[in-house]
Amino acid sequence: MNLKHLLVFIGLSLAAAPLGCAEEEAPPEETDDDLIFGQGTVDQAGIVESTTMMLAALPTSSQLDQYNREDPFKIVGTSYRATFADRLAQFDRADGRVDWKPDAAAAWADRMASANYLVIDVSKPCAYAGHNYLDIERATLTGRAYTSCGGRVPNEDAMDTTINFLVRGPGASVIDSNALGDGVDQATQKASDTFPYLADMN
Amino acid sequence: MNRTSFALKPLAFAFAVAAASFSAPRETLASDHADGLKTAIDLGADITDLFAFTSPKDPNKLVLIMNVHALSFSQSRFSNSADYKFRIRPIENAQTLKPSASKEETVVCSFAKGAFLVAPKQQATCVFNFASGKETLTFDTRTDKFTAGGSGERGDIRAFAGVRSDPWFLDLGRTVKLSNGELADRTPGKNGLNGSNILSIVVEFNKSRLASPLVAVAAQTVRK
Repeated sequence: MNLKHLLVFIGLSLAAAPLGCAEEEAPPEETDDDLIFGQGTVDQAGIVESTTMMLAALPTSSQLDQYNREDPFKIVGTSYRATFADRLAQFDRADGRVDWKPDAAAAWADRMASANYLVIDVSKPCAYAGHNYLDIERATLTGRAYTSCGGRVPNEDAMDTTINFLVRGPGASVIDSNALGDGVDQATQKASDTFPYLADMN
Repeated sequence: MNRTSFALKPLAFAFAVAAASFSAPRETLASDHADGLKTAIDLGADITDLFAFTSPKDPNKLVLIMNVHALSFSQSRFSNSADYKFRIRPIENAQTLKPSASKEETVVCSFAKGAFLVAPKQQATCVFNFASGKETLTFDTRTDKFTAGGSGERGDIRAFAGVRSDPWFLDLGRTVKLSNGELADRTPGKNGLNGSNILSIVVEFNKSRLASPLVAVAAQTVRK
């Protein structure tokens, strides 16, 4: 438990004490949060950083909640397309080069503005110590055959893949000599190869 | 409304406010962590990551992982009023990677029982809805087999729900700078999520159940 978690826990423990709820258990048919949060889609996810990098620079953007509430296979909001295109152009220029071809950039903006999903080909092998994430999308955008399963494996550095994809274009490798990254290469604990795969809590 | 629910609702609100104050900063925890004002408050339904891969132990099985609640600890629990959905659609055009507009298979997990902060054990129900038929797994989210989790299985289908180490990693400061157009240097960074936990739902099943080997996978949380 890090400091942030500890502070939250201590605060809530103090708040809970005078309310006297610890000795009673909520009946099974009741929920304790439905009156606060309402109904409908809260969040949807597929592509890493689809919102906080690709759609907005800050988590306070008004488009984020709206995008999160969309059906991930049928996004209907019309404002996202221009933002995705503008943000991609900004990332593409970050290294002083323009690597994205207009057709590919338009195709990616169209994709993210219409749906948000991972693509996996289960007939291909997953590289558990390598790179799968966005492999199928990058291959499709550049007209080559893909070799991995795509999808996303827990230990792979999807942030570095995302950075290279956005800044250096869909043809860029995440492991070549010019590869960019954030300097962090693994999680607190690595995932294992046995169910349920993710490491035990810290 | 009985006394318990009356007491729990302000508690839930206190938690939401506390969580929001800690988790809606100028820096984001991404990849999908607290990626908006509403999800930064509604942590139990805030998806932090989605994974899809074939099992390293058995390549004939597809594994899907949905993580939520970026501030989890041992007592954390899933929302009883949300459906946690894995949605899978066949990709019908390999050139455009556009998924089918109508065909869909799903795994939907929901939770019951337990109580906020004091009783983390819930009853999980995961419904696997394949083109070939529907199967349901029910299990407790706290068992002796895990520190803070539980699992169920029958035949080729298996599911886990509970607290795990957050598999996401990034340098927060560098990511924010990049998001504003500034590239990072190549020195080692600092994992801003070091020591963090999430609530995880892990499901796996034979990939032969899929309508197509090339599929699109999305995660979605829906409050009922």
